[in-house]
Amino acid sequence: MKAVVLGGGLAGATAALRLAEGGASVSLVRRGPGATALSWGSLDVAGASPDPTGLPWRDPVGGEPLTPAQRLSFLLHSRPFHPMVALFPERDAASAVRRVAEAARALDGWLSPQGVRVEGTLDETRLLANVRGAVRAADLAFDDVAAGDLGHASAVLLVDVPGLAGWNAAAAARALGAELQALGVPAPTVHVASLALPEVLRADVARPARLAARLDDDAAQDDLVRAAAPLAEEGRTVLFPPVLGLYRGTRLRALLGEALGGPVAEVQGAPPWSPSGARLDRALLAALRAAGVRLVTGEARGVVGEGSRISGVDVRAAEGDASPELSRLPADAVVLATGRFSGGGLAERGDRLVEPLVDLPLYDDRGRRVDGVPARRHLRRRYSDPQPLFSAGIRTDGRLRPLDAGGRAARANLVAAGEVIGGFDPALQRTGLGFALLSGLRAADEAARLGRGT
Amino acid sequence: MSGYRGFLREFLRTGSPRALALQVRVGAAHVGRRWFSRRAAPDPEQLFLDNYAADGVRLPSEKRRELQRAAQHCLVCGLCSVACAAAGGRPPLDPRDAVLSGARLEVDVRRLHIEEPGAACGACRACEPVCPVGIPIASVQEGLFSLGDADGT
Amino acid sequence: MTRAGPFQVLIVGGGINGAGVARDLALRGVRVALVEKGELGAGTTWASSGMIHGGLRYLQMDPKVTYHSCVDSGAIQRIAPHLIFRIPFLMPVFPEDPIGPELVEVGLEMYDRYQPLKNGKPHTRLTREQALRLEPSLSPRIDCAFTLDEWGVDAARLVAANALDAVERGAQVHTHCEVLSFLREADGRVRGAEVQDRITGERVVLEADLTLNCTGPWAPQVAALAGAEVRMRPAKGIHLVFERRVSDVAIYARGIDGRDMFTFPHEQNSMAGTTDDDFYGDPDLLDVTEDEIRYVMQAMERSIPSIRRHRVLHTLAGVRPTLYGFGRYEDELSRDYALLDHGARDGVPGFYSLAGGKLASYRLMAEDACDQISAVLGVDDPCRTASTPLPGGDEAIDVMATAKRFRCDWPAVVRLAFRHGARTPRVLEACAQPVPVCACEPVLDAELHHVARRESVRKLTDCAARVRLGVGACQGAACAGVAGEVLADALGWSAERTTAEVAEFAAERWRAVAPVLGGAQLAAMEIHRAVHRGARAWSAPVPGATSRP
Repeated sequence: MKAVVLGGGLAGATAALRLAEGGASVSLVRRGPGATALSWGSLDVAGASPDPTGLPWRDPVGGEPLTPAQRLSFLLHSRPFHPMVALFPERDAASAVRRVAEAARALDGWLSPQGVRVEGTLDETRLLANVRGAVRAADLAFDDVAAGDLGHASAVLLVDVPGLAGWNAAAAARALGAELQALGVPAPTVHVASLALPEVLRADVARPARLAARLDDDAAQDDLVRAAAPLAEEGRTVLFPPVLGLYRGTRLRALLGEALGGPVAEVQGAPPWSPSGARLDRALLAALRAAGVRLVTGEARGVVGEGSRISGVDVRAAEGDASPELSRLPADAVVLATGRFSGGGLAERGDRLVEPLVDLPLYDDRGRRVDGVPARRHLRRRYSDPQPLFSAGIRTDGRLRPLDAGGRAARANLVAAGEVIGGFDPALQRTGLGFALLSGLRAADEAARLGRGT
Repeated sequence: MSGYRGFLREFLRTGSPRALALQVRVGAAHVGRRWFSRRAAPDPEQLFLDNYAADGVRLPSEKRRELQRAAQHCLVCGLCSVACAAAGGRPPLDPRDAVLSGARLEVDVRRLHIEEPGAACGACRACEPVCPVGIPIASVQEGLFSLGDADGT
Repeated sequence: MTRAGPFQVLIVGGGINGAGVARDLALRGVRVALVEKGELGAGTTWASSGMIHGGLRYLQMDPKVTYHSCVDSGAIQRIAPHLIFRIPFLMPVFPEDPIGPELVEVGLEMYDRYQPLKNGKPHTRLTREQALRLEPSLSPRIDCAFTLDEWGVDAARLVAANALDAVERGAQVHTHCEVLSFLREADGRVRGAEVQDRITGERVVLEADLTLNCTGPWAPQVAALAGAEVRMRPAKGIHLVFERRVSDVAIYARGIDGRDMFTFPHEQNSMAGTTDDDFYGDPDLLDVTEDEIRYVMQAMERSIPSIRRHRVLHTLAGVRPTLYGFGRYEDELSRDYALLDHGARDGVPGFYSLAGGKLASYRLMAEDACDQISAVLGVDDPCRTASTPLPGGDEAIDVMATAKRFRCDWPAVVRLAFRHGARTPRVLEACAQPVPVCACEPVLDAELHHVARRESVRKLTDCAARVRLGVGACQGAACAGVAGEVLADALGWSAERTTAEVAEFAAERWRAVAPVLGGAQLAAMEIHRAVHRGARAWSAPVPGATSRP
């Protein structure tokens, strides 16, 4: 079975990895990094959001904070148009928890050899702080930020690094205090302490990426651990700015944990500096290579085939690749995981909003058709208003096959995964990477079936 | 001739006698210069370039325009900075900064007569494959100041 | 309630007119207070084309206006050399244009006579081939093209520099202070105003011998508070702002109705505009409409067929405070100004309005108005604004040496020097080690510290106009949060205040972007939303609570 996956974010990558595991010959076409590479360390399945359209933090009736499993259950029962619903046909919490645990295990299995771990379950909310001190009520998370859970910490230390661009520990601590108060959780005491960087590292404080890269080096890590040792206090959670190594942070965090006597994590970043996303992207690429997936850097330009079956995908490889001209990848099944605007899955062509590859119809979260007119028609004037444009995407059937304008599967062997599927606003509803992971796995299973003609 | 009629109509509606007087004087000189003067006029294109060279204006090169056209899609995501750092690069101008402000920097450099702006990087091209919108970042960086005054085309 | 004063003059409105007058009077030793309800220059001034032009189009009507404009443009070059940049213009002539090349050239030859006054270069006449070589994006349909030049200016910074100088010469400037009412004596004389600080809610009474209304398009509203009338024919103008420059030269374009517009380089970007339409609405509630955008793009496309391939970042919208005139098209209305004495006109002594005018000749207009005001006040000091440098305008600095001294990237120092001139080192001293905050412009944290502590910046949204924070490719996705923390440190904001300021900044940028959002900017705004909505804090204010209705 030949499968072609379009898009190399978390959704496309997990689909490709699952298909490869099942014995398919998989090609993955990716233009470059997309939204996944700009993510910030949490892999929310059912994260809580302060936005009225998001999932609630507390039980609207009882007032107790909800577990992620309860929130997922809430989503499945209260948001019939959310594409997540199709992924949980059973709709009961127990099987949802099991399904998510399986997915997390699968992803962890692929990523851990590449140095990235997936942590967490749907039984507990993880309260993670970001560089601005804003708190995210997350569930699954990657290991660089996961240990920074504020829900169980009794004391938290934010490490100030004087001169580091984009990190103001005192301001973050203030914000963190306000956040925890607004969330109404038993707040840990928040401390700020300054870390005097070793001389060799000081040159790079204006450029966090360079500092992080410098800290991939064992000797530099050891220097930092020595410099941080005076901050040790037993049992205190220590949050560092996201510079603890670029790709080799596991060792550094472990050493710091030993030296400081408590859990050590980075705070979550925010674009343009969120190394978690860059780490995830890199690990996914490495996992794809390890699984024997053929990676094609370039842009899919169209699909070919007879009737409703796709037989191939035309790809224009990026410059620098051996063959810059159009090449055709044969396909028994195709997974569309091109994301939204930053991934290229949605675009404007000549003042018309379109899904550029198959020209599928697009719908917002209220089921209104939005393609074919300028994107700005679907905007509201106030930033805080719901913006239909940013909930737009394709619609699928229960087997994740994209629907045409008539509501039928657009192609017999095409399935979709990730945010190219519309019906929710990822910025407001914190189901982002979780949906990518779960839909990626499901799309792979469906693609395998459809590719075999069953 | 229709152009002149249009102008006359417009002028009669809004013009002042003082403007008319100036117009006639300059117009006569213009006719004299255009049709009766034997003096060779300087090459206007060169004159233009000489006039505005100090302001950073010069003959645009197709290559530079193309780079700028590609660079305008920058999302300010910072992935190029990460890739650059991971590859051990330490260019004087961060790749993202080069992409973002490159267009104006060129003008600034010429306007302020900055010598040796030093944008050159190691040209390892680690930044290019990670750009979500496919900007040829290393080429932008390379081309930033290297297409110096010698290469005006 | 606190009282301040008495001042000799209270100026209402902190646009270029108010700030220009405040500086002029302060230089004459007059005790001045200025109140502005928002940020300095954030209204009409910030939405203008930012040009100190010599008034080519006035040649046809009255060469005297052109003469004065050019002389004044020369004066601004002397007092603020750091704030201005030359913009060469290309004026293509199309076969169907109503005015043929010979007449255009005669016009430009007339203008050449005035160009030396403002250090401009004489025009050149290019053949079609030459013009296309100099600007390959020009339409190949042109017959020939002409060139001339004008000066661009960072208009918001020009206002700030005028206000700053006024303050350094003893004036008081209060931003985010709105006039609630005017103090009236029994005979109707205005003796100052009661103002409210829109941030703290505090009310202050400012007493003054003479009150001057410089509120531009808001002048009728403000005058009405004093029981006076200002008649205006306000006209709305919009600009589209492109990501980076379409070209290093400005290019004339003609609208479907024959109006002249242009695409011109401004700082990092190019701008295109402007429209000129009668405006009857509330100047506080300006929205850019789709037909305005299409009108501008249609005009630009005729001169630059590839213009639609350029990424549009955001829009600027403003209202021109044009003087009242009946029965003429918007475009033909004079950009003249008038100092209205409401004592004589409406029986409101002590209250004056300065109405009309244009950015390019703000100094001249302020001089004229202040001469009249000085006569009323009995002050005989002459105007000194044409020869006294604005803050930072006294000498040029060595950018590379300064960058090295403060260990910062030189491109950031170039921009800093553009805004602060000779005071750049003083700005950089605000931080032990300045670090970049915004990459698009670029902006250093030291500049934010400086404008918060030493200038009148009181809100994060002030920084868009003042230091061009967040007006580039990412529209504040990358920098607003960091900048909010810098201002919080400088101004002692609480966490809640900081979060609210960042949210308000993001919402303001959205208002400017949404009308033109499309193409490449969609992905950028997707990231913007991920940052500003996706990481929205629990302690942030309720959506919509801080933004305008």
